[in-house]
Amino acid sequence: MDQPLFPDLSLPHGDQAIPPPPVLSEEARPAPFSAALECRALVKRFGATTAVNGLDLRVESGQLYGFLGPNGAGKTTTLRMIAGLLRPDSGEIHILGMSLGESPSEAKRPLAYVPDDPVLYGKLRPLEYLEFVASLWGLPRSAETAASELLQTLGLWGKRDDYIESLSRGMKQKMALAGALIHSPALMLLDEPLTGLDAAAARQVKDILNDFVRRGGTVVLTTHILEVAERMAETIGIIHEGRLLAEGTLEELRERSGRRDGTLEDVFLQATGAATTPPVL
Amino acid sequence: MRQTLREARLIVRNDLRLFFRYSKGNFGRGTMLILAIVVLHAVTIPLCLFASHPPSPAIEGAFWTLVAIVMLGTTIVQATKLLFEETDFPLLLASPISQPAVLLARMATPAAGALLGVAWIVIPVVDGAIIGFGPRYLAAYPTVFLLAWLVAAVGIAATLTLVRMIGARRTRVAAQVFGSVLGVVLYLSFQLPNYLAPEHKAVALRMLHTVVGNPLSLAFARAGHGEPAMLAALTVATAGVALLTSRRMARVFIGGLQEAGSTEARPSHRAKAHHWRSGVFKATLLKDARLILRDPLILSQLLPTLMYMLPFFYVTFQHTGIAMLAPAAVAFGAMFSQQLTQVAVAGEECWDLIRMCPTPELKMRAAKVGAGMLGPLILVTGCALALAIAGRPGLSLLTFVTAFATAAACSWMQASEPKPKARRDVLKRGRREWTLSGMATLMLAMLSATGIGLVGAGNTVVGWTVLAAAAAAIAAIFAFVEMKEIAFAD
Repeated sequence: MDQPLFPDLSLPHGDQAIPPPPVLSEEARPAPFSAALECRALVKRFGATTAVNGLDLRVESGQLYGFLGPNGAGKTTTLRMIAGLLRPDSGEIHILGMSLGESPSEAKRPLAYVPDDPVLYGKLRPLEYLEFVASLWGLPRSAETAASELLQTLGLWGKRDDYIESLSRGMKQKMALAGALIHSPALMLLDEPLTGLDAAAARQVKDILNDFVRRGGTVVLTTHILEVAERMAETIGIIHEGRLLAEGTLEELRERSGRRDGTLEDVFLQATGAATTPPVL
Repeated sequence: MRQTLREARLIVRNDLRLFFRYSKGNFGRGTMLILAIVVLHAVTIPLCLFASHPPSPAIEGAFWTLVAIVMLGTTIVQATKLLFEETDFPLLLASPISQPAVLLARMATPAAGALLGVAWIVIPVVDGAIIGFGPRYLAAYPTVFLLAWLVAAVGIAATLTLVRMIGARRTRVAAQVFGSVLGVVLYLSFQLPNYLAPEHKAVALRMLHTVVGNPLSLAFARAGHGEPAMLAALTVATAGVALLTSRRMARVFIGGLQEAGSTEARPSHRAKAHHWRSGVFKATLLKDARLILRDPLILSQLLPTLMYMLPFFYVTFQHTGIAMLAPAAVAFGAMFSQQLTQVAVAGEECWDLIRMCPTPELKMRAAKVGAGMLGPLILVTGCALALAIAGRPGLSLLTFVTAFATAAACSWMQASEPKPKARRDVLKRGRREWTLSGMATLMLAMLSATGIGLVGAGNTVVGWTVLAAAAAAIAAIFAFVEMKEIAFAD
């Protein structure tokens, strides 16, 4: 899809567009071609287990970065550290050039994080939830328009009078996405964003993310659906046991793995060592 | 039927295995129960040994009525838990085991809960009766076991009937309120004669006699002291009711499970047009006020506090008349404010959102205190208005100011060092922690209520002195108690 999703594409519930990425202040604006996200020598231990082991990660602005790895590889821990929910044992995180450790409030302002199983306020209605989220990011009253547009775009407008607890899992996932988009972030961290979504909703989310990136936003997403990463991600990073094993475009990864005709699944299994598993007869 | 029983036994065996494995972690609670049983034996055995005659049928009837009521409260709450708590139902219902067998097996949970709920009082009383009045009271053990199953079956049938009538979600709310109010009603029933005038006391006792002397309670009493015919009748009745409930109610149970687990709520009223508020304070205040208002669990948790204090305020009313509203408003305003503030602060549901946003959490704390105080202050305003209408405008104003300041100080103290926990556990009895700050807020609430009560009763010198002490304590809280950041464990 070469055409931008918004505002040209007619939407199922109106023709409103997702608010554009934020206009950052002069000092907060990243230098051209600077990294949207940079992690250096990130380490996180839980007792005797090292979840993230000296991870170096650099994601350029305007990229969709696929962060892949087997279960327990350290993907979620990494994202939670970047979102400021876990404190790294050592290492540095820079978001749009701002250090998360030194100025957390400033660094978090352009950031949005959607966990794989988002917890929402069950007894709030969608607009009430977005009102609260908007206030947390200090948005003005005009955010109401963006909130209504987001609900329409994501097909949640019809549910605006219902409590969030009565929404389906997929709708809750979309509600969390609306909460992430309301403050027009520059960098989005998405942990398994397509979990629980039906085909149409998954397609809608993928279109929204592609459009977000096309407008200059940056997305880091984890997924177990390798086909999604193969199709959407410009750069793919494969993490295993807390270390970045491989990184590059799909072509580069294929080349490095020596499987020029292979799929991302082949590359992934080879990189993580799972390809050696004997077939079950 | 044999097949149903065989299948039910299979499930119960697995449940028992899991129960014993999980109970290893509840060592403290088990120890407390055993300790209570041992201590009560030291009371009941001498009482029964030195009693001149065995208890009358009315006393025995009263005992079994009490046991049955407590069991019923427990089973109704547990029956709704069965519907809502994630268990192995998807596995069981997808298996070839019949639905009545699943329901019959699941009756064991409320029955065991009912037994455990009364064990601390039943075991010492029955052992005392066996030692003091003879081994025929051994029959009380099978009686209490049968009673637990009977009450479990009746409780489940009642709950499922409610599910059919008003839906699973509303039934849960009703059961929570019923369960929490039942204990208070029992307590107040025992306390009632102390507060009644002699002529009313006699009437109340006659009514109580009629209640406990009903044929059903007397039948349990007869079975409990070893009448074989009654014991056999109770066995047959219990088995019959349990099997009938499992057969007739299985379909409603499955429907209730589906509704409880479904995402589609019953049709709700169309909400009013949303007025967008910006600003962290306003938005947080509104968000938390809405969450408190819409949480039915809070009502069931706060109602008993209100009810437990009714006798105290009744006595105060007899002596001071309408001025009683002044200490009541101050005490309730402060206690409910600090409890609801605790719900809003410690029971925050979306910590991830709060922690990843650029607004520091401390900035939201004051708004949460405000949300906690909002409802109780409406109650306080109502009391103050009633005082003003009754011709005590000065006391009305003083009540409002005292209640507001005390509630604010108590809530501030509660919000200063919150320990995040699941929202449903914040006010749960048995899970509430008695902290130093909790004790201090309770004392402050009592101090302010005493001061305003004395002023209202005309004892102005002492009253104003006590109020001055309360004002000093409130000032000290705002001056020295700082809001601390929450330390989250990684």
